[in-house]
Amino acid sequence: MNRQIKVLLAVFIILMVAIVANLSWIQIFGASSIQNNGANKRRLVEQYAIQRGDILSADNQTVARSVDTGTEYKYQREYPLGSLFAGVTGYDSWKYGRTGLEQKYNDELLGSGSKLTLRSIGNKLLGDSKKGNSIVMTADSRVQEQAAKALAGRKGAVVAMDPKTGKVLAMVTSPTYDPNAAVPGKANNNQAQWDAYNADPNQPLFNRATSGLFPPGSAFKVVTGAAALDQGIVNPNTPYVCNGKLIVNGYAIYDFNKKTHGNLTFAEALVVSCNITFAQVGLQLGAPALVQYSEMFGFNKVTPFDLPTAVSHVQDAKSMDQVALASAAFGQGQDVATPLEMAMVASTVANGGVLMRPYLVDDVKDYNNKILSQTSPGQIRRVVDKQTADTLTDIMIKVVSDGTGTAAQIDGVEVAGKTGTAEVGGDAEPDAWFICFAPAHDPKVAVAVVVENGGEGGVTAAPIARKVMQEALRVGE
Amino acid sequence: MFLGFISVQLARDGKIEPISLVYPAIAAAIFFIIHIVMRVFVPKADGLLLPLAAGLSYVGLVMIYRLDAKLAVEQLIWMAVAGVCFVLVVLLLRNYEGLAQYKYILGLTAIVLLASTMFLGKEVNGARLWLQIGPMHFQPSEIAKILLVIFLAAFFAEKHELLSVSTHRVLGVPVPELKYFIPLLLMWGFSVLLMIFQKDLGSSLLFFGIFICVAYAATARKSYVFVGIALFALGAYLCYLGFAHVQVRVITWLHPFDPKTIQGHSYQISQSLFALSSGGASGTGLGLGHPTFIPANTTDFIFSAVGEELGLIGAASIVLMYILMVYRGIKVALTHRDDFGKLLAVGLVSIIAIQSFLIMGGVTRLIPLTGITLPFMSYGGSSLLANFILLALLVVLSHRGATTNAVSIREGAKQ
Repeated sequence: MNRQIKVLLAVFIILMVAIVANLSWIQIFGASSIQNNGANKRRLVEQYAIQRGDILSADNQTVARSVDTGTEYKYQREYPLGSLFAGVTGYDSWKYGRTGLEQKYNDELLGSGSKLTLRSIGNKLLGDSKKGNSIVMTADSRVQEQAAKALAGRKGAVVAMDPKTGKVLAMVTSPTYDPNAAVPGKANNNQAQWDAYNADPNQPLFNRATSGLFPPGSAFKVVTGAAALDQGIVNPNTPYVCNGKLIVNGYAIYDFNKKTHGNLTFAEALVVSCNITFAQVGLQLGAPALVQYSEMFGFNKVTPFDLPTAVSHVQDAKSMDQVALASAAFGQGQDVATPLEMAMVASTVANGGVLMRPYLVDDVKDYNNKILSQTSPGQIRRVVDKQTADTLTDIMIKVVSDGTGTAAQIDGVEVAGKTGTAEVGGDAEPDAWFICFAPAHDPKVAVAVVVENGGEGGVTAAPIARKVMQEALRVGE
Repeated sequence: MFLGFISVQLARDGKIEPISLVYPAIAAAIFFIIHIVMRVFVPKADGLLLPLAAGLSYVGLVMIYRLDAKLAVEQLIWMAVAGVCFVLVVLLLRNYEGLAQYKYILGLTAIVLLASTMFLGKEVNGARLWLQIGPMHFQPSEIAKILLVIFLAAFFAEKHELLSVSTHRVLGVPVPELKYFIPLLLMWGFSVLLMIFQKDLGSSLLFFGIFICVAYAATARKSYVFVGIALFALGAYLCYLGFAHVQVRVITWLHPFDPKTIQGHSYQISQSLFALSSGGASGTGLGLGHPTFIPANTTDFIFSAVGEELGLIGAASIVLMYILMVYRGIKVALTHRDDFGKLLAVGLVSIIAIQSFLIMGGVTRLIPLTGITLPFMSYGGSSLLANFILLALLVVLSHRGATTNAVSIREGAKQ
């Protein structure tokens, strides 16, 4: 009988050892793959036990803050300004995840990337719950609000930048959403609102400022003009003839509204936005040079930015025939651009030909208001000579004083700008563009405005740009 | 254990209260009294069994306290009641041989206890395991398993020679007469019935496992084991075909993270695995993990809670304690001289070994999950009571084994 009992003992021990072997797989070797399963609440609960840092605007308004909800997910987001900065901050939600700055700066906001200061160690020992760091945006709530008000709910976007530093002063996309709706379980049930946002054909959750791709229309003439001036192909007084119609390879190109401008200089052509002239300039310039300058302005390249961006696009030089080249030169080819890219174009001219890296977050501060890191402005590249930029600026001043952009005039301030009225095909109204900067000879702000199907740029977009510039100049004083 | 309570309190409330010292003090007192009783009445008993049981009970109590302080009070009260039962068993059943005479009565009582839940039972979590007497819930299968072991031990002690004799040969293999398989078939039928009527996979498996162990030890018949395993496979397969809840157990075992069932049928097992995986080697620390996410965390899944907060080190220590307990129990069986005592010890050890394997293997997804308590650790009065009685019997057996051996050695020396 004892032999069998010993066999039983051996069997029991083998079974128990199997448990330990299996446990070491679950707890050590295979642990991370099990842990990362989405149904495991642990990570979320731990993350939401941290008091996430605030997001502040440049003028020190609280844009996002965390409040103790007393629920399983303890600290949850509140956006006191509602939809105003939705496109920029995005949302932080245990249910839907994170977008925008909430996603990009998640580590900073949770405090996981930061150094422990002596004081924070002290606070930790005293049993404070873990606190994250705050981030201070470059965007100013007053400029942002003015831009949103000026757009007045129309589909479109506004981007305002400080051309000398690349600081984004305002970034508005419209229509937009209230990020509070992404945080469930507050006083009201906001599921319906959230579902409505997702079902809305106007895509309020989509950030048009960074990811909307629009044909730039005549606003692109700034790029073509910069290239032609920089290459020495033209000067402001180079004479051109506009018969209202240009035949390229047997294909007729017409001016906007089939106007005829007659004899005019290169500068005058930009002021009145003559397509026929710019088609000729494009043909003189050639596809490789046009594409090369476009790319230096940021087309066909991923913009280094705090938010995800769509790549603005010009057609490949090799696949561009003469007709495509002539059309591309006045912004009606296959080119598409984001409002952010067009703001960068305006900024480059404003900044004497140097493109600055755009950025949205200035400082990261710990909860004792100690600055942990500060973004320093960075230069992406020199695009055109100072000389070229200055010449172009002078012409763009005339666009606003005498040309298509008079609606952007500000009393006592010299404004440089360029309109765009981009055909979108079919019977739809064209997209209205305006890119500008002011004061023209010491620029503090550069703005790009697009209004989808907004009609003429000088009529619809320029007044919006004016209000944004005015507010930016006012708060910048 | 004092340390355990204090760290739980620190993590939970950030302060230490005097109550945290009272719990462990009471628990320690219970085991101290049991120890004294043992020293007086069964001085030659195995010295390691009680400390191991105490260790497991302590860890269980700390974990229950961490999960739900109210349940810890109840558990402590039950521990005291179980301690009294332990002492009573030691005092009254020192001559356990008498139990063999009542084997059929005890066996019948076991069946009646189990059957009672089929008709009077209260269904909890899809299984019909509970009897309600006044305000108290009682799980008869816990006591029935001990009665069954006594019956089996007595039965096989009497019949094992008969059952071991081979009179037939099938394909050259000696096989006992068919009628000697009758007990096996009966037991199998009984387990299947238990499964069908109570939907209690765990107990059903446990009873059948105990039977195979005792029968194998008694008869040395491998054919018993093989036929037993074949019958088990058949029964399991039939149940799988016939019962949705058995299918669910198998499917969730194979695919615990299936997104379709992860919030439903496989919620328990997946939460258990999340808990274990977040424990790592050394655990999150008592009171610092999230074992409250695991369902049934004080009963069936207490091992997962330990794994989360005390890590692989803590969980493996628990397994090691069960191995040691089984080892000491088997030693009792080996040193014992009379067949009834031997088989009784084997049966009792089998309960601990199989039951702890079923639930620890289940919550770690080594085997399909079957709901059963973890001996000495899980919250629950009937479970604690039964395990202490079981331990008391083992202690009595070890004392007797050691005494008779000592006597026979002395007698041998005289001759």
